[in-house]
Amino acid sequence: MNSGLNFEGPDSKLPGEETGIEIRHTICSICSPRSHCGIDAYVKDGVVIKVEGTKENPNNAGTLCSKGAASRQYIYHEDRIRTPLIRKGDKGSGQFEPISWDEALDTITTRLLKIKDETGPEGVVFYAGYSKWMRPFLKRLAHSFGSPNYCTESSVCSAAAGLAAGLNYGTMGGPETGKSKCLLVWSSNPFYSNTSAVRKLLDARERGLKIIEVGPLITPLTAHTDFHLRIRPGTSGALALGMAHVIIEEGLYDHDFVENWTLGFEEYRDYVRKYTPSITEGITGVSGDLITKAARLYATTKPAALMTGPNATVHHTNGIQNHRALTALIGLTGNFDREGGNHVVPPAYLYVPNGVTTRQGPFMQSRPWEEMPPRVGQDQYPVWCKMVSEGQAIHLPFQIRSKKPYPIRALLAFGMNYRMWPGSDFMKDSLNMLDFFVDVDLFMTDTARLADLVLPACTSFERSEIKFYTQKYVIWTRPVIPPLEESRPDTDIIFDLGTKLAPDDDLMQKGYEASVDWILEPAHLKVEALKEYPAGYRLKDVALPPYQKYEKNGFSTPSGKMEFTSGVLKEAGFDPLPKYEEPRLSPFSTPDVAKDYPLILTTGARLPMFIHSRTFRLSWTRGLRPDPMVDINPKDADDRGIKQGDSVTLSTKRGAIQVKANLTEIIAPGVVNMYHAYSEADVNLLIEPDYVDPISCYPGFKALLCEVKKTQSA
Amino acid sequence: MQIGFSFNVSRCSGCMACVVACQDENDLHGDGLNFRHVTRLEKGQFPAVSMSFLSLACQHCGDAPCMMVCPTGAIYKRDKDGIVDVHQEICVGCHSCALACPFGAPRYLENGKMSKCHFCVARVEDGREPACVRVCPTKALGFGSMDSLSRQKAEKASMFLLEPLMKVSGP
Amino acid sequence: MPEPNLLVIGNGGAAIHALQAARASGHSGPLHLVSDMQGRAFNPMLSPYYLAGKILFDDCFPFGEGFYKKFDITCHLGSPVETLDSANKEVILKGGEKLPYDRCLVATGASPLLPPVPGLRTSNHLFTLRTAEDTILLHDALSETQSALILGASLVGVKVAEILVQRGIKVTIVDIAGQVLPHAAHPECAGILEAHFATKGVELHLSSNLERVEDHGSEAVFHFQGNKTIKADLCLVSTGVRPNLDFLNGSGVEIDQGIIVNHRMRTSVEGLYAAGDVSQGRNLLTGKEEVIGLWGNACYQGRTAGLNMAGQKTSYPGAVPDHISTLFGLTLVHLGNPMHQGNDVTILSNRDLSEGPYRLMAFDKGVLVGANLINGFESAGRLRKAMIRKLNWEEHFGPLTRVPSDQEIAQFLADVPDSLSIPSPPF
Repeated sequence: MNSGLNFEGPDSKLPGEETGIEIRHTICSICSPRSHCGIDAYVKDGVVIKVEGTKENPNNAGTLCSKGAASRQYIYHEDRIRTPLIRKGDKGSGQFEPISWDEALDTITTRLLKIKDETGPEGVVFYAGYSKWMRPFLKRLAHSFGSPNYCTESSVCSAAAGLAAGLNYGTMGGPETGKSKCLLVWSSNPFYSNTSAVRKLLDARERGLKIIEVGPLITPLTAHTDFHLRIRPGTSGALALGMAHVIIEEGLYDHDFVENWTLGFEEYRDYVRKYTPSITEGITGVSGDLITKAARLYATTKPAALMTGPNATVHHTNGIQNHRALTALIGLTGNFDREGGNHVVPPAYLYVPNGVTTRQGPFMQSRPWEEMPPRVGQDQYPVWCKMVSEGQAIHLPFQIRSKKPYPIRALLAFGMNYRMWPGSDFMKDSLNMLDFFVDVDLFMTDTARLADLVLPACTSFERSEIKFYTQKYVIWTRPVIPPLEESRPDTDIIFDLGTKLAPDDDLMQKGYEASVDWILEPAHLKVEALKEYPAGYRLKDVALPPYQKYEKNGFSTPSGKMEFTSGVLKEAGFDPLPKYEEPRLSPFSTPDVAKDYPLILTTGARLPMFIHSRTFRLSWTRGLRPDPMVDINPKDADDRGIKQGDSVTLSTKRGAIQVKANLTEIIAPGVVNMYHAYSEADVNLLIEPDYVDPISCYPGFKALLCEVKKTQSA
Repeated sequence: MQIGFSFNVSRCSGCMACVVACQDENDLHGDGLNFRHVTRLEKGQFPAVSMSFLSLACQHCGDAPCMMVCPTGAIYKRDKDGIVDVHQEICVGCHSCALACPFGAPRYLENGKMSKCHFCVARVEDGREPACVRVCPTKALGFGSMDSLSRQKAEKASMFLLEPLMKVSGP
Repeated sequence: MPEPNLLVIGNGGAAIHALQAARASGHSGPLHLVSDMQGRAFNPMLSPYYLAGKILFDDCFPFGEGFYKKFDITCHLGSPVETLDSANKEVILKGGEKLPYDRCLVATGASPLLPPVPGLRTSNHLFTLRTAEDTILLHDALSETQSALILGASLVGVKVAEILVQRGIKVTIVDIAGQVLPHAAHPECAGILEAHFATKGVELHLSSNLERVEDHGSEAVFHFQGNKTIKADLCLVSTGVRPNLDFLNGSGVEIDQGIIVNHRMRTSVEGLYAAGDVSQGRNLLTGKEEVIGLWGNACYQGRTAGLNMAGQKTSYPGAVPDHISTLFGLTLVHLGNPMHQGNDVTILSNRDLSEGPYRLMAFDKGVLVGANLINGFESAGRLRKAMIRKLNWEEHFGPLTRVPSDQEIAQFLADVPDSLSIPSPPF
């Protein structure tokens, strides 16, 4: 694998006048906005020769993860797109020729305005994948253009968890780990997905924090837990109901909160009555004794907080109700919006809550929904559209094909990866049905190859952006190197397009920094002033909101209370209780399928060196796990005559991929785990495009049925 | 003085940031060329399973077997801090050290010469941490003089790794 | 009490490490070095690198110009030892000079063994490769050599063959055994190597018994059993070595293949120590005392001897036979005894090189007793450790049915403490 780096650094990389090496500050934006660690870039002669974490940045305090540490290969990779490119051959042929930025932007504005003129602005979808930093500006562009169709990869990320918890509480709060005495970690592996946070988690554990972990895999957290409830994938809801059963039967719930601040408790109590520990054991595979002990520990240790992953619990065909059931435990035990429990702090900017108030929401919603046609997915997923301020991207390929309720003709995408969609070939083929597809990306990806026009974006090292941290810290970054070749920051592209696509939008005309200033106005922050603090600025006079705000404001649910029975779901025709249903494919729901596909397939659990496909192409990270591997328990492997490293075929009813076998006890017998997004072994090919949750349209990535067989060599 | 790494096995999550930070510091772009390795250890069988990780680079042994078997004297130990380093211009690439090292630490560059962890000696002399220690997000990796490390009661599991290979008391 | 007078006979790895260790451990008395050679200590391991043009001749002397001065060593160079009078604790040099000692180390190394073949010893085309002088002679001869016969498909023989082939010399390797590297490679591994050597243009004559050699002007004719003859300009004999211990006749020291020593490198004679290729050592695999013949072993033994002579109580447990060498571009590892036989022996190998580097591992009752690796030497040091520790692989991996991967080996070994606890030898 060629790293694309064509230079070697000096023998020792010490900064200083003698060596000509200067440290410049920036942030990493390879993974999610909860991390985005501060980076010290060692720059010599305009080239980054080394990176390390910024010590002053309270988020990462000088450290990085393997992905961030590989930044240099990310910036300088040979696959970086160098110029705007226009398709030369057939759609999907991957043949392009360079064009100028002026030509490219003119082509886009001409095509999009023509579509707007012919069939309306809603026929143009504006899509944001990774990273997330350009989202506020892209959504504003979409709406100012007139399209309701701003879609993002949040259609498979954290939005459904927010939706589910929102159905219960209106607004959800995160775990206040530092003040908590007991942490219930539900299908989350912060060690790999939010590395900068685990230092404090380990410190808290060393100070005596109780930890209960729920999830099908052994993770680095498991060694630090009091109990690990190793569930069968897809049964979180049942486990939560079983824990609620214990908590209610033993009278361990918060009577005062339940009585005064909840709706539907009696129906809920009646419903969970049947989830006895032994029934729940039969569904989840977790021993009834362990369920009882964990429920008691969580309910009686005050305060206790619930930490969920952004999406592991909602990547199920029963995901929303699963997640409702488990987040209901917060209110049941009286830990909602309490100190050391789950504290509701609204996000300041880009998903980061820290007590700061900004105008991100109003900025993004430049035109009210009522003034625009329905969004992608609105007819079929009304609850989604009620609770989430964007279209449902997973439904996009269906609308492209059906042209119902109106045709989708063009797509302007930033950092799209079609392999994110279940039945990824279905999405790929759908993209090829569009009149006009523009992809903005760093690298010539599988998706960029399908585009009519490809624009080169640049990395966080080559641009300026505003970044807030939960630790009351903010940084306005400056480019540590100029954008490589002809690449440009996503925001430059958005605002350039905005001059013609949204001529009536004043902020779009004023530009990026003026827009950031507008967003930051309530926080009394200005870009110009923040430039004085290149490593970041510690926010002063910022306080987190108080606890138990519901006592003053109620809950932002239809009833004004926490809803065990959801008014929104009832209105939409769904069961208002957080009812447990088997995954659509499981040994219990589809025993006929399980005859040929007896193993449960769970996909998408994080590996430490990858986030989705983003660092696959870097030899430093890829070298740590070079082959696509399916994790399989030695017992299941033995039954199939499979040995470590064997070539195996992983198949479902829909298809098959070739991978290597990784025999490991981190996975339970009967379950296999496959990391996603490999071009050469795309596990999403094995999942039906409509294998989704009926409320959120989230794909059931984490529980379906499969078989693994040793590949017969030709 | 003998300088050494400390490793707290209970804090290591196997994120492998140390491996990559070392590659970045040392411009190790080649496939599989890394001075530090992380090994995953699993014990037990379902359902009683435990998992842990071990991050290992050159241990800069007090009595380094690689140095004893080196036919050219290319491998040497620094008096002031005990760092085991290699004079690449003297190394003939015979690979004897690969056979002598029980940790698998020696690596070979494209020119056949041995290269390995040198404890980021320039950084350490400049008052900085080795790149792997700096990057470690859980603070599982540390470094210091062996005296101070043993005073810190490093984990038993890490201490046995730091024991000299041979019981021969060398000069 | 005055510091003892220490004397070392020899000027190789064992001698140097003994002197260095004695001085570094605080010995302030006299240190004498006696050697038949002139100049600095030579490392025969480096000769092939010089012959291949990879290093300078000067680089074959690794201990540096200032070594003897730095450690205050009185050198008696170019002074072959006639006899050793252990009763009077004196070394008598060829010229008659007598050097007294309190403690003496014999570290005289070994010399090439010449098979008793008529005409071989007297042939003008005969070369060996051990000493600095051998190296120069061979080096100078190569420029005029068109064809060469390597007698003995040993590691040295094959290594020199590679160098000669690179210089465009036609090379024939001959061995009485049916395979190359009969002491280092399992027959299966040897087969892979033989096929590879053949692709490099080497002619192999195995199971060939040399009967006599005749010089015919610029070339020699080698007659083999079965009327086979081979002509060559140059013949390198690489059939093994024997310890240099003729001068010990009458000293009373116990000798088997080499000088018998204990774990402190003491011989059976009071005040007399031995180390390196002239002495035996413990094969940690078999527990038997034998000549080990490895540079690293010689250095460890020398150091142990030097420390004990200087009054430190320290011991050296022994070694396992091991070797790593790059031959015609393939890096071969030999560990222990890959040819080990017995009722409970399991031999695993991945013959299919498309699946990665070649590995052969021999286990006896689950304990690794021998290995050959071709390329993929990542795990070599770990395997060596597992062999020395006599770890039971079956207990960890279950029934041994396939060669473990590097990763699995690392996992297995990661749990094992690194200190050695070898029981002391009986005396």
